[in-house]
Amino acid sequence: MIEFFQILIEGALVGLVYGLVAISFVVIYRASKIINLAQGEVLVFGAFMLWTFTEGAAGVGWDIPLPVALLLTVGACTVFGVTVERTIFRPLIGQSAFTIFMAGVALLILLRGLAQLIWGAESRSAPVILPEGAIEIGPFLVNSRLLIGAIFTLVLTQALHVFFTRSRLGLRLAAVAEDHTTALSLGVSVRQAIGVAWVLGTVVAAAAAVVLLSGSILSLEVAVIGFKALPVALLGGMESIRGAPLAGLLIGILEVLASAYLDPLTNGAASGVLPYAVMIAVLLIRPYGLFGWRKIERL
Amino acid sequence: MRLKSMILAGATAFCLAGPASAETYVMTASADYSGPFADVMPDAMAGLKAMVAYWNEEVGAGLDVEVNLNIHDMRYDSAVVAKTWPAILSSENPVMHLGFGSPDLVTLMGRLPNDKVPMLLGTAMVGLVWKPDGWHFSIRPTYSHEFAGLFADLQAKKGDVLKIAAVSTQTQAGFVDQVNGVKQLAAQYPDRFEVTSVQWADTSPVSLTPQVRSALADGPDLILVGGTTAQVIATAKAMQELGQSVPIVASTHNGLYESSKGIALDQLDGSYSAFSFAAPGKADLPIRDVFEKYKTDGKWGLITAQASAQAILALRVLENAVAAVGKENITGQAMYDALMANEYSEEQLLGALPSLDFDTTAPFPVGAIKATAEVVKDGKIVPADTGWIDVPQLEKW
Repeated sequence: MIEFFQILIEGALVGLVYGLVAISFVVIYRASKIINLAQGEVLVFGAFMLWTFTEGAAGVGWDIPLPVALLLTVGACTVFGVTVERTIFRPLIGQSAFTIFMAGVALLILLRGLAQLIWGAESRSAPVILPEGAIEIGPFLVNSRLLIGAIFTLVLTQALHVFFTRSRLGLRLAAVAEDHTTALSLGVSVRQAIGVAWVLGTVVAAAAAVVLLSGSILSLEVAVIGFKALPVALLGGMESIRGAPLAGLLIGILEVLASAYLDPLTNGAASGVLPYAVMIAVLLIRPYGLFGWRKIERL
Repeated sequence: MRLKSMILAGATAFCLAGPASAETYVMTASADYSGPFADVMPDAMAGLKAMVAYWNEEVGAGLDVEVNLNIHDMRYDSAVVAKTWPAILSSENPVMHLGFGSPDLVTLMGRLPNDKVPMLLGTAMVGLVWKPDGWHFSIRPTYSHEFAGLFADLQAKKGDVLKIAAVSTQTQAGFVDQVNGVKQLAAQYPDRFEVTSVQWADTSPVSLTPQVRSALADGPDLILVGGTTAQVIATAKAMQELGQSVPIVASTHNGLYESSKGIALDQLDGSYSAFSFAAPGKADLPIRDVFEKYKTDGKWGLITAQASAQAILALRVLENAVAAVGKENITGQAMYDALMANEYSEEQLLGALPSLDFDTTAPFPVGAIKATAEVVKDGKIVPADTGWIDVPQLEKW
């Protein structure tokens, strides 16, 4: 029984990492009505920026203190988010959801190429930012990095929830997500909302990169986490900040249980298929997700 | 006018009476300067170039044959290979292509018999393409053969059944094939090897702790991680988290050098990288001396050793082709015939490879297949004390 609960804990911690990435999908969608398929690539960009200000700078003799490097990363992510919004999505304000969706596909391809052009395709070491190893809590072993990531995810979730539901700016963003034209007619700046959404989305993605990659290896392949987190965001509901970590918990736990109990019977297929099976099931039964708004435009 | 004509005629006669010019043949090579192997590619290509320079000066000059090595950036991308190869074929007329990895393999293997250009890879083969009558070959057997060689050595030292756990991924057929080959090993030699479990995971996993815990529950002697570098690192970190230390066995693409980018080597102490060309740090390695003498750039290491081994075999094949058909008549067919008709000794290959023999039944060396390994010892990567290990014979899986 202890082993069963140990598996549940590990699944929950991994699931909250998915949830953190899913939050970055949600903040962009919630404020701009854009499902950014390139969110995995955005995360990789954030990770490469972090690498640039830590390992990369150290490699050329500039030892930047970690807090400064983190601040520089946040700054770079802000510039990056604003640039993407200004150059790609601002011109599409008022266009159909399909047009914006296709722009997201184009962004995915563009960012992959750009990352390769700027940093190269080789794998490299990611800086150690979170503690390594595990701590014992009663009879259970808990991964320190993932535990800190989980706490960060929960705190961030609550903070973003308050921002979106209590602050004036957050409520404006929600109005933009409802409909660009309506928001404009109510005097809400759609441009500002989408800009803020992209900055939030890129910074959250960079935070997810820290939890995901701390002390590990960074490569372009990491972007695949985006497609792992998209079902989580859909399951939670694309407008629900608090739905993302809850859905992440669900997917993470299901995935680890499938890995432990079904993979041996299915030659490893069950845990790989499960997130996507859940995504399809959710889209069929509740297209708006578990906690999403009921009005979602279907492509 | 007459004087000019006489001078011209005299010059022409002088040229015709002079020594015949060397025959020049093109070997093409696939590189990956902008894909996943971009960081190691300069060293890999340095290995090819150094061997060609050596051969042209010390062997080709005597045969009156010169090799031009044309390198193409295929970006480790099948689409790039597919669109580049026809132009290479028509404009460069290569007598042999030095391939790199599965994009070359899957894209070209079907057409090479018609193109009449043999391809020699430096990367290991996979059982999926273990088919007869191809024109694609590797200097190395399958990954599973290489693992099997190391496992045989470890099993002999243990004296009991070697318990093998595996971590791999279902997302790439080649990685599944590695595991299938090792399962075949255990099926053929049940008194020597046992696959205790196979844990399937993402290529870039968030954590492998549950999978590694499950694998360790069976008390394996080692964990085979033949997939990605991220998996090797996640496996090592999971064991650290669980307070366990079981040797990891990886390949070359995800081996000890690559993994050391993400984890300190002392955390991989006792772990192996298995392959089938001479370990770069091996004592008394003639090909390393040749590289150091003829290199124009790059540094000696695992990928350089692999590429140098690939090039020296290709060049020895050319020597045999010249001997068989004459220096003026070298074609892809002549190269293929020379590869099939001759055995290549370790000495001929400058110690870079064990003695090799090819036939039409497999795209890799047949007969007495051998492997070797590197190991992490005291935080350093050193050649394992195995020398060349005889790989147990494996049936096709």
